Amino acid sequence: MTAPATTTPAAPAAALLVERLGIESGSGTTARRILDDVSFTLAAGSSVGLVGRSGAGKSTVGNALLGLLPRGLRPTPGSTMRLGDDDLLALDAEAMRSVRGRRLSMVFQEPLTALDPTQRVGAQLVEALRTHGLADGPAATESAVEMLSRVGIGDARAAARRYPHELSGGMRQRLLLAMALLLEPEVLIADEPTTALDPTLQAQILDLLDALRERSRTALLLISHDLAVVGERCERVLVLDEGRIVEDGDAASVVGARLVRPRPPAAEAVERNLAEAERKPLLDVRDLAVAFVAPQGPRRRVGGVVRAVDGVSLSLGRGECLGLVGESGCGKTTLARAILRLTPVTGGSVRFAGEEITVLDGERLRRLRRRMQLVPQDAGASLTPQRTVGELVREGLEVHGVAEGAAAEHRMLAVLDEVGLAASFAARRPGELSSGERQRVAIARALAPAPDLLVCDEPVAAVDAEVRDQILDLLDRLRRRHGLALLFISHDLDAVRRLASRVAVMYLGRVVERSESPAALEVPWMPYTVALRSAMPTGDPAARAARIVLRGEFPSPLHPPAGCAFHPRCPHPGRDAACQVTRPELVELAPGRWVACPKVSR
Amino acid sequence: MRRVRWPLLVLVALAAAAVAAPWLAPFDPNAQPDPIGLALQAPTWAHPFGTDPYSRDVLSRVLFGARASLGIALLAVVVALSVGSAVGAAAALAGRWVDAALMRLTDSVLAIPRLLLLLLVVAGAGPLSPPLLALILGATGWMTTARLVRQETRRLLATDHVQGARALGVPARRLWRRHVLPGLAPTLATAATIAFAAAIPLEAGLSFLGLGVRPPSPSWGNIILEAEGRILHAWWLVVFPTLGIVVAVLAANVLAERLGADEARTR
Repeated sequence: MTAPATTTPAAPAAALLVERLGIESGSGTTARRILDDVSFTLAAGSSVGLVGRSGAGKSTVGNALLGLLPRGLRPTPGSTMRLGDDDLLALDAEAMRSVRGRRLSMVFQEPLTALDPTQRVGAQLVEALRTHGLADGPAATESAVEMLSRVGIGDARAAARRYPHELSGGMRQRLLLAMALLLEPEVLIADEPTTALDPTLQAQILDLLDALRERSRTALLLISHDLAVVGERCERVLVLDEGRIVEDGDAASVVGARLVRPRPPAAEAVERNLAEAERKPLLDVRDLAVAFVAPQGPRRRVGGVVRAVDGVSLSLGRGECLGLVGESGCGKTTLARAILRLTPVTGGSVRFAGEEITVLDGERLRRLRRRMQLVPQDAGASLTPQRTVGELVREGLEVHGVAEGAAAEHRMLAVLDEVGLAASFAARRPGELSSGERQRVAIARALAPAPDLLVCDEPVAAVDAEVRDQILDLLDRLRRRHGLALLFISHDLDAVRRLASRVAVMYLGRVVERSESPAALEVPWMPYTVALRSAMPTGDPAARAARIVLRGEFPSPLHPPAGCAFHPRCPHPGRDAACQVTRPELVELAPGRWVACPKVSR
Repeated sequence: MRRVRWPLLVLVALAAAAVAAPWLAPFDPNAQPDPIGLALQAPTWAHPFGTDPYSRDVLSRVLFGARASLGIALLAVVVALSVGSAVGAAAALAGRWVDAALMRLTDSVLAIPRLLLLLLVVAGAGPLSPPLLALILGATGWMTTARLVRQETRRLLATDHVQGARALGVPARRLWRRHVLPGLAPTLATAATIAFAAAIPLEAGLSFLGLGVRPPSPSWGNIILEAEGRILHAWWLVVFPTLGIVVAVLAANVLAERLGADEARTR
């Protein structure tokens, strides 16, 4: 993992040394320690992981190192932060500015907010080089383009002429990495660099970080709440809790002891299935299609057709959970919105409790909404900030005439209790809640009018591991207790395995693999699912060797590849010319196992 | 909230002074005790803001003038905000054609210089009573509000929480009242302060031209008019009412800017 230990002329001091770092806010009696007695060193070319739940102070460490603490926070006396031979705390603003970016760089979680939307990508990279006096003119442009191709951006020269919003999420994250690495910093701080990405992209970005660390001898501080990621990529791991380092050791021992292995696929899942197989489905989707016209061309006049959902069929019975997985952009969310009649359907049928619902409108559609509810991805944004939790939860009861007055109040409190929130939460507003509490409110709100179907769109994508487990348990409990049908959409395969009794895998608007058990995720057959499964971090560095990392970007849905949409990225050895011509249909290869790939045999 | 405190305090203090003018003013604003001996006196202890050509006390006239100037501006804001939010919300909610028509109408009104429009109306209709003046100021000042409200309504309609409420089956009226309107409040506050800051100097300008508040009733604009022909000599006739205008406009602009910044932060 490390480069051969050559003896460098000067004794290799630690690239970064942090000693007794404390950060406090307020003063006198209101003083509060955000960080307390944090010490660690980073050698050149090494990688250290910093883990802890949200609010533990992880990001504060990064901000303190960069001298970008929010107003009101300051280091306590006796804190030491040294970068090479320089005392970071003694530098003035001007000196700090020249260190930042040049010698100490940071990659943020949300790339779009860290980029200037009005500047072309190439210009932003050139600007960084010029600011630090490293290169100018054509030479700077050349290094910018070279760095873009080094981070795996295909047509780097064309990409340099684009604006950040024209690039996909994965491209932006790479771009940010290119920016951080362009100046070959001594230390790179990556704050949740892949949390918002799906597993295949995550693996690509992390590989990139490793490669560049070895090439430029950059020391990496990887901040994450994902133990599996840190366990794989770091040599040492620090565990932060309430501002203190509570554990410090090599990755294998720290992560190994803490990582909870996913529950084995329950034999019970199969039972669930058998019992329910005979029943008539509550939700029956046939050949559903949703297409958009996207403006295109220099004057936005030409319309390209995006087939976001392209002939999807699935069914779901009462008390059952269907897991729908796929990378971001594959059409999962559009499918969910189409089923809920939140987005216009362009073809196919959706039958709910035997009734065709694609033709409903007006009051009948509004009435239907009581019976099918959505648990959205971003619970924080889905709750009107000006309303109280009580008002929000009661709303579903009031608008559907389920209960009013005291009865509504009573039911609201009962639902809050059911999702594990105390009655005192009813008077609070969404802004006062933690992300986990907001997700519970969103679930309570969906649950209040006693629906038959709950569509959960990435309900755990934005919460940390502990909250994620609680939310998953809660959803599973609700399914059993109320016989709720769950359509569970996620790119988190572990979460789907825990909840779903049946699985469908989507790629570019189509279902490419389906199983009447969680088998499609346990032992996937379709090459795409195999790759998706293999991209999930396990926390074990050894597992990385066997990993299939998908090449290239998720294709643009505006120009889907001909034939099998997956063929340009397909790692299957049997891939041939036929894959580029014929689009494979789902075929039942074994009882309850459908796969859309002619190269897969039993 | 702390950042908007001082401009808000300044505006409240000005409004309080206007309301309390009958008690604060040392003299009747229209009394002419000695048009020959007391005319055009520079500030003294008896007349801290001096006197005008008719020997009237300028301090008293500035205080009473604040009632006219601020009152007309406030009423103009109410009119501008009502028309502007109605147009903006209608454009945001209605289909493409209504939206396009309303916005092109807004653009065309905006294309005519506002002062020119006002002069045309006033010149045509002759001198106006203060409420009518406010109405016309409002009727020529709703466009910015309409644009802001349209923009913000469209944004709110696309937010997850409005979509979420729709998915829950919340009927349209309730959706508007409980999930969209509260989100519009900060925008309306910003629009109101902007409209206020624009109305004050317009009223003063019209009154200075003799087309606004008619003498002998004082307003900040027509006090300055009394200095006509002797602006350099009778400086107190210019400085004190202008100070009122500047302080009111500055406070309103700072308030608008800070409200806007707060709004952007909470988004």
